[in-house]
Amino acid sequence: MVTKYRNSLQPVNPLATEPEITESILTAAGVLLVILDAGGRIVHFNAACEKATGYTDDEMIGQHVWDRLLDPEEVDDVKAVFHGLVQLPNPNEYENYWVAKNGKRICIHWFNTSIRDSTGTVRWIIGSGLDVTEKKRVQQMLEEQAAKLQAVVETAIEGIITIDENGTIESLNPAAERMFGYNEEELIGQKVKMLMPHPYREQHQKYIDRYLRTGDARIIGLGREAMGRRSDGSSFPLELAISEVVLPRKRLFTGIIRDISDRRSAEKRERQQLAEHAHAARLAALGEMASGIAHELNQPLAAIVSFADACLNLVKKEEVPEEVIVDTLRQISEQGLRAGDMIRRLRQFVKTGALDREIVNLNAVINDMLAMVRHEILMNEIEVKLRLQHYLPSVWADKLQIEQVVLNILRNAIEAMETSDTSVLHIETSKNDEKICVRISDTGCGLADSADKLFKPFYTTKEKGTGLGLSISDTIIEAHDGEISAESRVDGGATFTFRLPIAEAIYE
Amino acid sequence: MTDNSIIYVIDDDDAVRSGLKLLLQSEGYQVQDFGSATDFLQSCLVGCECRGCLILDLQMPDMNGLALQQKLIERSITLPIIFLSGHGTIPAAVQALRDGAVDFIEKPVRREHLLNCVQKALQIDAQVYLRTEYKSAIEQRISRLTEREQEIMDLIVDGKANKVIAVELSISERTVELHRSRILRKMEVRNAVELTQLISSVNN
Repeated sequence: MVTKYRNSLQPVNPLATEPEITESILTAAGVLLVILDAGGRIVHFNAACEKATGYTDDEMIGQHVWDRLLDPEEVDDVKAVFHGLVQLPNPNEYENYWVAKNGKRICIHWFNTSIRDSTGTVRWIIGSGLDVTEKKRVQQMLEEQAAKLQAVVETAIEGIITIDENGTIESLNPAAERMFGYNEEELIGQKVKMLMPHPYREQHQKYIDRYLRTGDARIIGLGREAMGRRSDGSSFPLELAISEVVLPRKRLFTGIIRDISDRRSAEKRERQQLAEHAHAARLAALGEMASGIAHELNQPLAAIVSFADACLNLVKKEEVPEEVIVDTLRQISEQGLRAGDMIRRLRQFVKTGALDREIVNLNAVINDMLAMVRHEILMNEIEVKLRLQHYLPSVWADKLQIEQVVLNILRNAIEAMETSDTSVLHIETSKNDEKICVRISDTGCGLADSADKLFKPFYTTKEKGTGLGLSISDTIIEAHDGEISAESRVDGGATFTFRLPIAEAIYE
Repeated sequence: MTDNSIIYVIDDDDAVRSGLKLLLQSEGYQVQDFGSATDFLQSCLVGCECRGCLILDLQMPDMNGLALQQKLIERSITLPIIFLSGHGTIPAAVQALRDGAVDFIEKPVRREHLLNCVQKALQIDAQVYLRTEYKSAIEQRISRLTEREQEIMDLIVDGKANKVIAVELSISERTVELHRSRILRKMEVRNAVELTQLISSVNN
């Protein structure tokens, strides 16, 4: 067919001359094509229409489109559009549903036009349509999602702030407005660092720059604590999680912010209370230990006085060798240090006030506390068997409080063995499951049938006990995310075990 | 305070013990020290001629000071005891003193006070010693008497006259006189008054 026109002088539009081409196009086209007469009856129903609806053109030719294909609710609207096309020559676009033979609804975006005769009377209405069902569904879903997300963001109690890579605020939610005491309009377009107190403010842009340059995220994805600054200039502690949103042309950072000042002050109160109780219990324990402590202190003092008096005598004598004097003075010094050590431990132990966590080696704590009860151990002829693991990882703890726990357990063990024939104190440290485990066993009278009551405040089986020791120990260990337990041993005696998490931070 | 007096220091604390030992040695005393009451008992055999005094820690593992004091009383060892304590409790002090302790001192102890106590203890020991010596000398004299002489001596000490004794024993007054002069000679006294004093001093 192409060769037929090769030698023609004028190109000829084949559509004008060869109706079968038009027919082929209508059949082959992916778009839905429907032609109605001026009364709205279907005169052409192309293959795409057949495929989409499941009806054949035989079934449809001569039918009114609104009788067979429309959603009843849309009939009036579609009729109005049809009449508009009949009356005015302007093409239009319209979206409506067709109901397929199997009942499925198809959303079609129509491009409609009319064909008129020379008098302007409508002959045909032509609609070509695209099946936009899927597009519509996705769009609706996205709209729903956006609406849901918006609702979440609007009602979240966390503040949500989005910034661009220059640190400029793009959006924020009402919680963020409340938290920082600004209106949305006051913040959008501003630098986010205005919400940070010194010195975070100065560091912020550096962090962003470094992240963009190196990808080194100090904070992305992690929840961490920081400080915020309100419009009145006051600061508050907050917990911050940041995620990165990468868009085709830019990056955004979304920060979710939780005001933790209430939690902080509650924690502070709790810590303070624990500190006070622990201090009271320590004083009580020291009171109970007073005579042993006095003895421990008086021993070195007695030795010092004797050595010094001996020296006074010796220096008056002419024949005394110098080494004797030197040796005696050295002993005086050693005994002075011995007393000093004891006093240092005591002073540490009665300390009050703010308690701080530090890197604590539990083996050292055990040795220190054994020194505190040395006198009691001697008097009761207790054999101490130590199995302390070498290179024991440290824990992150308040040393004083952990010392108190160890001392409590040691004193209980010693008291329990006062009437025992053989008194052996086993102390063992080990590491397992990322925790340090301390086990202290005695060969004493064992636990009464009260293992569950042991850790309750004011519960005691001792005549002079306050009943605070173990309950404080329990509270202390709990505050350190550890656990403590007690059990009777089969062969008599009791075992106390506590576990504390390893201070991992220092290995990172 | 004879030259063979020894001060025994018993304390479980090495430093306290060697401090006391050095001090007392520098004061010219002979000192022996022990780390426990048991060690002391094992070295100081019962009935030995211990002379001197004890400086004894009240609180020691194994056997404490009060227990050692009781052991010594049981064994009739009369060494005077000075108690030392790291923290004196009143009941312990009362018991120690009631059972004859020389003194009860709290650590750390002032030199003068310690030396006074030691001196007092050694004096007590010396007195006890002298008394024991004296007593055994008198007992030795008594042992020289015959049974009859001892019988008559008891009557003389009771203050009875020769005539009365003669009647009681159904012997002649002359025989009583002969016994009396032999008794006075053997007992190394001049008359009945001295004899009575001598006997009563031993019996006290």
